[in-house]
Amino acid sequence: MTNDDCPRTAGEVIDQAIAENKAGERLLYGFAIAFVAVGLSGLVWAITNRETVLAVIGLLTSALFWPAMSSVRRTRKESIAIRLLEAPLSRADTAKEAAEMLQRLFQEIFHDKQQDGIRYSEKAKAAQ
Amino acid sequence: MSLFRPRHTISSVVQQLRSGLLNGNITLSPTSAKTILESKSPALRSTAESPINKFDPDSFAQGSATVPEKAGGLGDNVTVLLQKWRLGDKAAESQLFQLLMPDLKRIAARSLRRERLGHGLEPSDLVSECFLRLKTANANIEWRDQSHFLAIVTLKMQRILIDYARKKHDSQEVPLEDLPERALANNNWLEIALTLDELLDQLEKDSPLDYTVVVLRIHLGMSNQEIAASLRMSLRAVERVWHQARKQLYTQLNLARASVRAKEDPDVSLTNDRIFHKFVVEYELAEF
Repeated sequence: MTNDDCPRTAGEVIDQAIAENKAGERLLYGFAIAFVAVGLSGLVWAITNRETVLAVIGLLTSALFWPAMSSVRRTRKESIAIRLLEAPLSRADTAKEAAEMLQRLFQEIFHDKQQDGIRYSEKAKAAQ
Repeated sequence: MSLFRPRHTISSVVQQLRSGLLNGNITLSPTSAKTILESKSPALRSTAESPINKFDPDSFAQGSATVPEKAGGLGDNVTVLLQKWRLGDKAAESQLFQLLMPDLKRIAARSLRRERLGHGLEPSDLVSECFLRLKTANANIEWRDQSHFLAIVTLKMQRILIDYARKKHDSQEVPLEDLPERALANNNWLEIALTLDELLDQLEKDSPLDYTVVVLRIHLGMSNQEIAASLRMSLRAVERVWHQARKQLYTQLNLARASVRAKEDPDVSLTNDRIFHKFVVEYELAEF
């Protein structure tokens, strides 16, 4: 059976999106662990051998842990939000009704993000 | 760097779902006959034409059909019967109550277990009283499905018991089941029931989904898995909604307590404090 013969369900789409996000999440966890391990080892080695430049490089490598972890957090947040889409979808009776519901939701998300952007730029202006 | 960005965001999934649903490439649920019949797939349409989805309540009422055994099919048929009952169909009414009588008796027995001994009401009395009240309110309720109906039934039974206790005027202080000892000290069942009732009413207005999950979980005693199956949601989503609902109740109790303290009404404050403890303890002990 081809994909055209058997349409996927909304639940399957959501599950797949979350599973794909999870793969990226695991990769980022791996990166975070690798950065910390390599960075700290380099740092310890550089300190014991009194290598200032290598110590700084080790420190910088360890610091890369932070963007990796914040990306993991962001990905997890998105995955949770995607999972919660099941709640409004479960209340819709027809595909059309669900599509309208999603349209409203999308507008709300877009509006919120826009508002966040405005707030952020206002804060940045005020800081300047 | 794309590596550090989530591959799928809520916006991208919403857009994908929306376009898929409109094009017919994505369906809502594989078990919903209505959704399958809407789809363009002949393979899926053939499953929709199976006996389980062809169930006709009218022929069932005349005794020429049997109730499908599959859980999903029965739920769909109850929905059809509920819609018919709302429109005043007497046959649908009797079939509906015949089908759901075991569930109604189970709910009644569960509600009465919390009452003191020698209460005077039997489960069948409670079911009958509930039926009479539902019959009056039927036209004003937009029935969604079996879970919704059972949730409403549970609340009606709670209200009947509250009214009964009010009339009797001799309500004793009895502990509620499953509550921590320190939350039970000197508790009055009626006070707790009334306060919870108000909070649940508020929750229903704020978030109907949270309310449904709380009612199914607290009053019907359903597990998260059962709720997920009946609401066609994933287990994880139900857990989140349950967590969210309790959090909201916790916040409301906190606010109620603060406002009562401001009014300096020691009696009400004391009751709210006890219920507040119940949720604090449950909230803190829960595993997430």
